[in-house]
Amino acid sequence: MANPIDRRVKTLLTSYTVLVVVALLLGAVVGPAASNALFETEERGTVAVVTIEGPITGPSADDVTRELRAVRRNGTVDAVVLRIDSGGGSVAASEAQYRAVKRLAREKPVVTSVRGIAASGAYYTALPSDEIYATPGGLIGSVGVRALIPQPDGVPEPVTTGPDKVGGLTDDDIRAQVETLKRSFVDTVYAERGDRLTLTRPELTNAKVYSGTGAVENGLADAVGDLETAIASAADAAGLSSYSVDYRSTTPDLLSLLRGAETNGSAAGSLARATLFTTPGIDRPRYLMLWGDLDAEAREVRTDGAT
Amino acid sequence: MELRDSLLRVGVFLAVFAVATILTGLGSVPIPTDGPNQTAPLTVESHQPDSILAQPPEETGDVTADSTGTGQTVVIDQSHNNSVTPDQISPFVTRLLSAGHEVVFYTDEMADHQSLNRTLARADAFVVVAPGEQYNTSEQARVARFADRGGRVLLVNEPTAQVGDRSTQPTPMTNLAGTFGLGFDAGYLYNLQTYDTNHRAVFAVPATEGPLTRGVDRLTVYTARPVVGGSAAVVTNGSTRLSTTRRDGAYTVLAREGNAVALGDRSLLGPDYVHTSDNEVLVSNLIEFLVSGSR
Repeated sequence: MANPIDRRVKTLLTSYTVLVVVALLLGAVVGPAASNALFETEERGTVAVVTIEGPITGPSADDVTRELRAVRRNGTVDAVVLRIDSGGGSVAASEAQYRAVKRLAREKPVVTSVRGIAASGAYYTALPSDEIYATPGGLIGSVGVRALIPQPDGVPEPVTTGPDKVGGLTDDDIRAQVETLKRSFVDTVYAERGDRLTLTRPELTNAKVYSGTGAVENGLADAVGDLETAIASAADAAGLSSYSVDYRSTTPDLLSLLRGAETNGSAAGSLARATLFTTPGIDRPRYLMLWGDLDAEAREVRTDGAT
Repeated sequence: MELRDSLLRVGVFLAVFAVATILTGLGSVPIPTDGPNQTAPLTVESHQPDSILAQPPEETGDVTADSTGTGQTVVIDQSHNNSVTPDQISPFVTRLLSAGHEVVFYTDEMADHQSLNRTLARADAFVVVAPGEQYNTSEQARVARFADRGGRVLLVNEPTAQVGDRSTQPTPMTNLAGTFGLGFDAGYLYNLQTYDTNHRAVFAVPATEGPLTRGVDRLTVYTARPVVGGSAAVVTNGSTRLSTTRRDGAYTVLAREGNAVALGDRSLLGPDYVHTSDNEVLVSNLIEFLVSGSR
């Protein structure tokens, strides 16, 4: 005499209801895949959307370049959209991001979508993109450099091995360095977008910020469009008519936040804006590709004509 | 029999363990989705020093005082909250002193004990740099009378500047300069086409030949204010713009009206810019102008 459990198992296995349900479930899983394998003629791929937002600092640029390297090296990513919302930041960090985007653009289609602002160092970051899209309310431009310099008057307090050891660059030195960085920025704009730009060099170096429509008109951007427009354009450039979108963030994760404010002031949110671009407690010249005023007790040299 | 069962169990265990190990091991082998781990060198032309490196402007020449006369007294006003200290105009002051002239800073303390009237009575020249307070009507009249009697007046101004999170105070020179038919526009001059290292360092050239511009080929003025009125002595080139209007033009930065001269750039008298271009020649000429009056 069989035990009750065996009888119930046998009943279940021979039940038409159970067989139909299992068949439906398996069919639902296998069906679409089989259909795609049999009838799919379009090329499938992935468009990665990398968000770059907030002040550009050394640590934030590290996060961005790391992510851009990851999508460049990832064979499943066919095209990349940069989702930018930043007024710029440190010159060196902006240059690092520019070079990372340029490396990426050599290998994959890159399209930029301006979420709110792509100014100064953030615009520099976007320059190697194949296309730049913005909505009318977006703000684009501010091609210029500024330097925050400590008050250099007087004999340095510490004993030093040379007159400039503490940081005593002369005003002439600072102005020459700012001019050098400006030339690099402006030359880069013309190298990347000279064929589309209608602004003369003096107009560009005026460092004005334009609305999205103004930027499209003068060639700082390519067309009015939102993120979906940019994604579609990137997919089209990669030859994809069917694709998935992989959203990636470059902002600090929870672990980074817990590691402390000293590594990323934007994450801490409690530091003065000026200290985002320097080491607290050390006063030295700071070169910025940044649009907007800073809370800074320092003299400033700018390449733009803003008052 | 028991030994056989035990060996069978051990064998089954090892076989399952081996299969599991192989399967999970295979599952952990990274499947390359990337290309080879190489990055081609990236050369950005606009990052190369040859194409972008700017050099600080060359600094040459010395401020001189060619006049054979000595013992002239030059009063520099500090009593109207003027934006000037001896250090800020040190090349100008030291050259006057080394040429045997007397330089008197008319400070607040002096003003408490001695009127401007008495101070100018024994002066040959009066220099006003970027005052922070207006000159009252009697002071304006006194300075005008001083010039009418052969005294030389130099009015030097500068634009309001941003310093940290505030602005320097405006420099109300208008009333005093207006006494001589001179004035200063608001804002600062810049040039985005032709400039000396920075767009605020604007080139300027003599508008006419005369004592003020003798030997001057080209000047560099820094954050200058345009001068209005009088006879233009030095002007910028036509692509210079004024920050407040953004209009192109050849702006006057040095003008003369009788015994009064208006200069729209304090930095010309200071150590930073006095040796740039022919600035030292202009400063020498200004010294000559001040000490060659007829009082």
